[in-house]
Amino acid sequence: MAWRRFRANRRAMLGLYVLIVLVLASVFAPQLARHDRDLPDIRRAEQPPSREHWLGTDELGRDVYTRLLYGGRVSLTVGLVAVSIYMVIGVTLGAIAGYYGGAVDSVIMRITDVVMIVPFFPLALTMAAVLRPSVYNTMVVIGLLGWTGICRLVRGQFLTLRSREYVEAARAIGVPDGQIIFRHILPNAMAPVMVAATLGVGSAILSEAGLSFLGFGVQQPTPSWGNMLSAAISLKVLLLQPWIWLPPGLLIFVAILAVNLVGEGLREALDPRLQRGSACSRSGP
Amino acid sequence: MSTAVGTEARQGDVLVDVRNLKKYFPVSGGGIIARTVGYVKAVDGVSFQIRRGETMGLVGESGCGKTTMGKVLLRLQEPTEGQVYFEGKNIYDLNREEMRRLRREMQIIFQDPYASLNPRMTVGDIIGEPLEIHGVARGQAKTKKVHELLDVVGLASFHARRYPHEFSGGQRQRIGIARALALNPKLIVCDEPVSALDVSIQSQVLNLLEDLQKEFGLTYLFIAHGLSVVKHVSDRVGVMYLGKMMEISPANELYSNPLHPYTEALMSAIPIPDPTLKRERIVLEGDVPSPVNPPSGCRFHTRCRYQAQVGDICKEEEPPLVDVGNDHWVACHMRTK
Repeated sequence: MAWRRFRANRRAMLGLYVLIVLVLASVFAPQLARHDRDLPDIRRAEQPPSREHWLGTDELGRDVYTRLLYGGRVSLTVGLVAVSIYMVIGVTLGAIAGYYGGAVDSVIMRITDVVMIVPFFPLALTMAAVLRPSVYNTMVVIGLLGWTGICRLVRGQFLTLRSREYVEAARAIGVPDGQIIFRHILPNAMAPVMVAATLGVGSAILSEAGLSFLGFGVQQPTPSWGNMLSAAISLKVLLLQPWIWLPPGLLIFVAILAVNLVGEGLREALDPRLQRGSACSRSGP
Repeated sequence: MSTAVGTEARQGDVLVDVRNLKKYFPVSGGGIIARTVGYVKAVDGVSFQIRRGETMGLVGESGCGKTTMGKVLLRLQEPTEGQVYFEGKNIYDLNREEMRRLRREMQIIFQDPYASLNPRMTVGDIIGEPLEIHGVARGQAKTKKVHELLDVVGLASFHARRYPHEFSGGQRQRIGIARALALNPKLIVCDEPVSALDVSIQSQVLNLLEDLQKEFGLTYLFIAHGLSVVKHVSDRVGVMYLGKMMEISPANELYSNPLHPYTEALMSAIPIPDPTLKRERIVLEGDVPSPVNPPSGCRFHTRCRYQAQVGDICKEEEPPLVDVGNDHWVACHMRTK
């Protein structure tokens, strides 16, 4: 039912195809790559695109096309893992807050407010600096700071669903709380959460790119779209060597666009009450 | 549903004894820090007994506390005050584990068959869940029991694989009944089980409930908002108004001889399937007063047509629920003076 509605949505399907291509390209990066990822070759530095180097080489003579493929791996993985981390935190806390209500709810929601109030980048930069920047710490930092939206969403769902009669029926039967939360309420609360998670992948990729661009995310020589883009900090590269920074920038843009199209498509497919095109898209941080 | 004679024979055998039960919901005021500014007195000191094997009807207008009564009685909500003795034990003294075990003995059928079944679970899972939770049956045995239960409520065993949205309202209510029956309970609270159904389906479901009562020796607390449904299912009927019990009486006695003016008004609202028959229709003036600030004295005095005759005592003193003979109890100054 939902799948049929999703398939009828052309933009969403376009997003899905683009995502599939990006994922396949990342998975088969070793097969598609034509050069070593990290090996510098100063003699071939800063070459424009040619038959040998499809997208040219960077300032150390590394093949941009190869690094782009591997960078996709890092960026997409960071997006997925970071969202998985914050899904677990957000869903658990939101479910507890919404189901139990009262004082438990107040405490959890005040914690959420505090995390929400702190601006993302200053705190993320500080945390990354303290934890030492790396791929894993980038995932953890984004995961630890991003769960608040999901938490509020899940809490809201639980607040409405917990007073449904089928939940009361489960309590009358003597079903333990944990099972009521996971078996009776959560499956009915998942639709909007999945949409938010999909959109969250897009913003997590953007966050990674931002952190890496500033040098506090994924570190050289590991490539990510974000740290490849940071080459554009140099005015010379920005003005004279667009082949170095344009492709990663474009891919970040395309990947996030694709994820958002899929997310919007999911939202429309799962919630038939929403009029097509009226849903406003959520932007990254 | 059983005959009046049968009820009398079992009179001493009390299954549920409700004593001075109260349930207040706090009303919080506006402002940044919510403060409790008052209480909705949904159930305000109700006492009655349910005898083993009988159907006890409970009627009253919307918002008079019937449903809350049923839920507090099953401890789905904690009471503000009072006790409920189930087979001699106060259920509010039980700890979590003891309460969980007691849930096998008391079940509930809900009003809205569209809201009371989890849309993401198959019918088999819905009916099988209580069996699993209480370790009654698993695997093959569970499937077999589920099929038996479906058969008992008049559905087919292949229905177990389907989802609730594939059924009509009446069928869904049967699924709800099967779930309530799964653990072989002694008491079932029926919370307006037919008010969401078509009239033609109503009688089917009522007949099913009646048959099940005979077959399994069930005791029902049957909650409804009008006397007409309660009339042919109940052995005894309690009439509630604004969280208080106004009258309790055997069903026949209540219908032939209603003593409380509120019951009189309710009775006159039962439609008679005979257009030539004229009778006096007692129309209650005004709305039900707020349960946050119930009227002083007798709660019904603001809408009572005898109040002027009886005098100020109605405004000043709350009438107690008194036995006036024939197992007929009423809380009215006019009848007990």
